Amino acid sequence: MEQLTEINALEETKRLPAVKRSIWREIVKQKYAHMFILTGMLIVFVFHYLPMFGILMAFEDYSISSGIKGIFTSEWVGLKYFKEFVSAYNFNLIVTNTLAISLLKLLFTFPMPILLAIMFNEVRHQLFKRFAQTVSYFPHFISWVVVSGLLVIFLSTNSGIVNDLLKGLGLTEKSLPFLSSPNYFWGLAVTTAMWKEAGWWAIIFLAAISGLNPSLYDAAEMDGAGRLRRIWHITLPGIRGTIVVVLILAVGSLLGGGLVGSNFEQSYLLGNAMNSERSEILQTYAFKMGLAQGRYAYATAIDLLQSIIAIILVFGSNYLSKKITKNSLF
Amino acid sequence: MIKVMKSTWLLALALMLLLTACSASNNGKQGGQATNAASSGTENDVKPVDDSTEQEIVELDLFVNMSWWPLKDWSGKIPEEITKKTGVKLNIQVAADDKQLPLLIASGDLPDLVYTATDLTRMADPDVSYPLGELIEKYVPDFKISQERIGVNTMPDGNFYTIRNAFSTEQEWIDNPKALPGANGMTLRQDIMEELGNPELNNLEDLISILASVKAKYPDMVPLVWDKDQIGQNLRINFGLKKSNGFVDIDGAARYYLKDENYLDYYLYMNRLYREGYMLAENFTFKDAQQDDQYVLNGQAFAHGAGNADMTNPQLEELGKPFKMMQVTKLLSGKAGIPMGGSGWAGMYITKNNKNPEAAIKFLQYMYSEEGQKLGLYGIEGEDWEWNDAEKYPVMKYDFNNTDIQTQMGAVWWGLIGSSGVNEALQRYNPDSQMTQWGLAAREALEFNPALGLVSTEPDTEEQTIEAQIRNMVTTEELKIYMAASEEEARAQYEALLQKAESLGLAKLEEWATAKYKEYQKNF
Repeated sequence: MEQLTEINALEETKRLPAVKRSIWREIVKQKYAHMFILTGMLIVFVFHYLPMFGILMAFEDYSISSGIKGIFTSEWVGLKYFKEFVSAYNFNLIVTNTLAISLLKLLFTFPMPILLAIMFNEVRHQLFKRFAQTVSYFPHFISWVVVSGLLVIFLSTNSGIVNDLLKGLGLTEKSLPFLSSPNYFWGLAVTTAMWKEAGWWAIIFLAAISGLNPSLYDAAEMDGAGRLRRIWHITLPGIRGTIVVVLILAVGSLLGGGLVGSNFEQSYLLGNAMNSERSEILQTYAFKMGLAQGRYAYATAIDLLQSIIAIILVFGSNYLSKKITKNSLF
Repeated sequence: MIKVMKSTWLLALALMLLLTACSASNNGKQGGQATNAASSGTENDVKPVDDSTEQEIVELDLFVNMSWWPLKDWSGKIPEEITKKTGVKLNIQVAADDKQLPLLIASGDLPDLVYTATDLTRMADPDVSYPLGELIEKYVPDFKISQERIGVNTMPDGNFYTIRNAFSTEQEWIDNPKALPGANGMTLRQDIMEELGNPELNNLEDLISILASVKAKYPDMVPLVWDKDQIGQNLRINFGLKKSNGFVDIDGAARYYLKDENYLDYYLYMNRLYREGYMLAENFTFKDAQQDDQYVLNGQAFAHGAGNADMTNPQLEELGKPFKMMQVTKLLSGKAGIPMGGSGWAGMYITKNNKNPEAAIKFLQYMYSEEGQKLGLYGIEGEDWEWNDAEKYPVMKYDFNNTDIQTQMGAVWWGLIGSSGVNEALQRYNPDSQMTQWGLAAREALEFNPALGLVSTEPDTEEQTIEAQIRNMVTTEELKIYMAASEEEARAQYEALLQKAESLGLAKLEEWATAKYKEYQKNF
């Protein structure tokens, strides 16, 4: 019996070229690890790739009453919905809001966690450092629904604590219409997102900083480098790779709000008819059109347009980063 | 190898534990059922009939597509009585928001029954719901529905999928002089009115001057607060406008409601209320339907748009507040009007997922019957109400406006499943109530035009897309009129609003609506 298996194995090795043989052997050797990866791939396939056939809806005269089958049988209308969206009276407004909120968030919320991580790293009092770090990432765990509920109460013009405080301190005479004036929405979106997520993202940068060789700092100190110089010449270059990877990810999800995400949640929960001039974004518009009005085809077209922009942004930022910093995601 | 063996053992052990836990919980359930059976067995000896009816009870799942629906389950003596009469018990699921039903339709996960006032045409689809005619023919041939009701609920495919409540013919309204329309009211702080020397309130100018005096005397107070879903509604009645959607008759053609000649006056009046500081901009940001009530209950507001003094006053008393609200019981303009066009409000649909369509249609037959309507709306006859034969209205024996009592009894709301407009309207009549006085005044303003009310767009048609886009645009653009810095700007914004509507295809929509209107007019 043993002889037979040996012969079989020998024949098999004869059939396979040397490289393939070694790969196959590696795979067999790591079969448990591969099973884990396969499960992950399966999940990605089932939940991310498989539903992509729904994109077809964007080019069809699709009605929800025709069900899933309708996605394949509906009449083809080409770019009708894309044209309709582009010529919508509020197209410019929605696109401007989406881009402005996203870019403002990138501009302000991206450097914040890096700054915070460096500051934490410089704190010598361990207990205070741990306390401050916990406090800073805690808001990450509060859902936007709760946060917006709190904001509505705090920012009310009539009895909100923020307006009472501002008036009490003599900073304003009249209550500021934080929630009902479109002028405040962008600022509100950026600051609240920063408050909620900066501490959380600081963890990644802190981890990168803790991986730096302490002897570098010692050497720099010996050479007479002060604290700022050490940050500038050791910490920042040391975590450059992490910064670039996180930046590419942030640019990739730019239209969703970048690192801190939450563009949709904020616009949906804090947006209202009064501030919609500044709060209506692609995602909320697609949501209203798709779910509230049942125009799935039109909403798919809007979302598809957004996905295309996101893909361009990921590849573009990756390419630029490869050229400029020699660091890239892929 | 040893590691693999170890992990396999661990996995097996974990699986065994899980299975033991599952079977233990199953046993627990079985044990529970056994005890129940034993206890009903004891009852069996005493009341065998009850047990047999219990066995016949059909449980159906009902999705109520109104997130504000006050009754969250099928409990209280009225639902119990309905179950006794029909053998149907409902498991209630109240919508979380207005997006849930479209999602349920799209995913095909609809429960047995759906009660909704929106997405009606989406529900009226042979793939989604049963045509009622088909079920009646098959299971309850003795279920008779008046031709008018069938007429106003018939869809373009020739079927009717529901009979909506709140519908009554003009004749039914004339025959029931105590039937009061559910017109949006307004309440004022009684104590402040007295302090102001009870100024006259006969027209809309009087209202403005009262609000001005309140603002001058109580600068910290909000002179007028609106319910977030009813902003301006009471004033729309006073300006004789169709509520806030659909079409109006202008020279025999169906025109979009915004073109009503009184609409601009209404907008300018609302703009004046805002400009002169009588209402808050923040009112338009309210996300919670109770926010306005809080202003009133906390004594922060003077006037309450959509207020009902009969409901608010007991709450104020309970909270120990030293003031009361009084209802404005007059129409404040000669233009006032309440259009009674249409085919009703909400309807119950028997979905294609229904596990027992026979029980469902029999349940509907009962809810549409006079007996079922009155049981659902008023309560148990003799116990909760008695019919005043001389004046033709039900005399309630309980505090009909108290929401706690309504919830406890399960009264009023379930009656809406199949009630007629006048039966609903009759329950509002109570000679001692303030709302009754307002209702009697509002009755004078009823304007009937059923053909116009029937004009509504079908899903997935070009007209519906146009209408939806216009409506979406109006919700935000309308605010620019309300919030305009001057009357001229408000006028300009109104013109801009109409122009935007035109650019979205209003002419096409009106052309279609007029054709439909003429078609329906032939039936009346």
